[in-house]
Amino acid sequence: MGLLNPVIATLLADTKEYMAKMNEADAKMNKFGKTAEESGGKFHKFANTASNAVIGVGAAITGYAIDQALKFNEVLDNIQNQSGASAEEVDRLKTSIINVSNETAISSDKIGNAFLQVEKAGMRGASAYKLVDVAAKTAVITGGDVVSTTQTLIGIQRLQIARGMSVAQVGDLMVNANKMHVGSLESLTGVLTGKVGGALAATGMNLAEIASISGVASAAGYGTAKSYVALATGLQKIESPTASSAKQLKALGLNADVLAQTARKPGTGLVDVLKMLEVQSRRTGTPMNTLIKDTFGSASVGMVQTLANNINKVSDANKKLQQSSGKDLAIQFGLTSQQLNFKLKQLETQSHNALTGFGLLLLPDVTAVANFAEGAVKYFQKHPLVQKIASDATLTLFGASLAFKVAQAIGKIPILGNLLAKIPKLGSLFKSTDTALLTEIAANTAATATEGAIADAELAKTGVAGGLAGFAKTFGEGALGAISDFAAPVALAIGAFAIPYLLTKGSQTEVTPALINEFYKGKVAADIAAQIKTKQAEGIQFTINKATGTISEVTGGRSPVSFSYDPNHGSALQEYAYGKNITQGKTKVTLKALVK
Amino acid sequence: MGEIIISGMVQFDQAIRKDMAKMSLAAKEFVTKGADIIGDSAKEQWRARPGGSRTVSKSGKVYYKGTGPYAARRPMPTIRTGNTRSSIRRRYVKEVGSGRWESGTGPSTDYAPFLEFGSRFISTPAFPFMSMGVENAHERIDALAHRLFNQAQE
Repeated sequence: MGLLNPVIATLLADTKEYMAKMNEADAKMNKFGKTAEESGGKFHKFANTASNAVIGVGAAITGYAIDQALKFNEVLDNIQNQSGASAEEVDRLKTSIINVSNETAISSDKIGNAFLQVEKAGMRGASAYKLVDVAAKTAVITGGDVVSTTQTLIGIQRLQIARGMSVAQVGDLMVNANKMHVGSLESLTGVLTGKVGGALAATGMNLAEIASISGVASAAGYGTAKSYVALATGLQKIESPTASSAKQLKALGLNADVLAQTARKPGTGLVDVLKMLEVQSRRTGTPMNTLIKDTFGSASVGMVQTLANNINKVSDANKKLQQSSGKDLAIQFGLTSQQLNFKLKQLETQSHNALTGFGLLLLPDVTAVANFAEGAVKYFQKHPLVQKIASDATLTLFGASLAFKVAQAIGKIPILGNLLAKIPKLGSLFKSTDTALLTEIAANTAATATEGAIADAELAKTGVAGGLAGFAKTFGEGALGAISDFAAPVALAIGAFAIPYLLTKGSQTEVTPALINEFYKGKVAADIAAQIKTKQAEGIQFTINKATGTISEVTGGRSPVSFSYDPNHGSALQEYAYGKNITQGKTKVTLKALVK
Repeated sequence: MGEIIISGMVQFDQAIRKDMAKMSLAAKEFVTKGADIIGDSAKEQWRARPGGSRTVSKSGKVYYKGTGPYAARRPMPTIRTGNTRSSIRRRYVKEVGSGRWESGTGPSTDYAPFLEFGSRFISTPAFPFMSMGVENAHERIDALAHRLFNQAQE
């Protein structure tokens, strides 16, 4: 007998791969810390963000992602609500916003707000994208705000002071003008658009001319709208001479018509007029001040005199600005984007955007649940996104690590409850939500999640690449790239969580009223529900087989006595001892009538 | 040039170590409770002793009839004395490597292997009560693993 093989069923739990990946993540983080320490740069926020992101990669990533996605979605909603953009356009904008944000390191909500301005102005598609892209790059180079820069670009277009110039050229011009402008970017944009810009544009000045004037005037301390408007009024006076003004100019030796014609010349009108006055002053000995006063009017004497004194600077600046090109903007942005601070900021923004994308992936479903409707259960069952989430390699990222982390605020909802509980704004909605319906959904999604976890475990056996590919497939390459250094090892560790899990495949799931009603009818179902409730109060747990409807006690190693219900025996509690139904005789069997 | 301040490295390291320890404990609990589930399941595979098959002689000796209406019905083994069935229990739980845990469940009677695997008198497949027990325990082990490993990740 001793030679016989013993009859032993062996159960093995192997967390080796999980442990290895966790070690890898740990090592990477330590390596990062060491490298960073040696490099001696400074970026507190990034450091905190990075370490926090890794520490809480499991717990926080989805909550944060959904929070970001909610904010992002709010912007998208604003675009749709306020600009009248179609749903398709808004959908397309999601990618555009993230792309621009990733490239320029400006937060996606700011870029979204910039798009809001553009869409409100009626621009759509490629032209809208181009404008925001240029505005963002301009804002990065000039250190300005992307929204106001966008508004300025829109304003410039509307004032038609940049005819024949591409948006990129205008952006480059703004960058160059900002270099000459003494004062904030806002004061420059205030000159280029709005009341001042409009007044100057009305005189036929183009953008470069206005910007060059602004450069010299701002250096002399002219920053108020009043002085610029006075200049515009003076120019208008020259361009539209009256009989009396013509007579006055004639007395000074100036031909009003020639002066008006010169002033109306786009791009160089003002400069040419000032040169004419200067020549006339030298020729006749009339003071410039007098000539300016009689041509432009007394209100603009100061500023025009300043411009006249710096006529060469105005002229040079004008020439330079007229030569602005989109290529130069790209070069300038390229230089800026190579700077360390920008790169760190970009990394941070890209990580945020990756998480926003992650959150967006979940958000439609979350929103659907939050805004509960009668068809929500079916929606979840049929929605391809849920299937995708459940079957993809990323499932365990939130399935194993995230979904079960939150306190049981919303009852026994393995996946949804935890995801939703992460979202502060949705918390209040759930207070008024039908928890029974939530439970139904949870039952469905939990079952799907179980299958997904198995699929993931199996996928994980194919190696890390499979997990990475799955992650990238779901969240996009950008997302993978953004978090690969830190989060990915942990995510993949969870993804590659290859405990010999094959035994676990099955269709048992939590007992819910919906599932009871699926297999049992009317009073029978009510009886079962009541009995289970009583037993659960005693601490006994039950599972239901989705395929057969059999409800079994979760024995978990207790004595082999169990409680059970099945569709063949109705609502009477079946007590099994050693596999035998010891109460069967007491059961009133009304089998087929009870089964749907 | 300033300095980079990386915070949370120690906490991160501790969190990782703690997580790994929790996973190892979960693995141990999984194989332990899983072994009990398999044991329970294996016991459920047995057919109750047919009524009338047990007789006691005047001298007190107990006999179990195994022929005619009392014959075995494959693949379920039929309880005669109940010794093999009663002896099914968790035999060991051991750590076989870092984060690797193993448990074994089975009967202790000498003739149990004959029942499970067959013999020259019992053709194969014989009465694979352990195999069937494992097979039927899948769903319960599934639920157990799901619960334990998710708890460990909380």
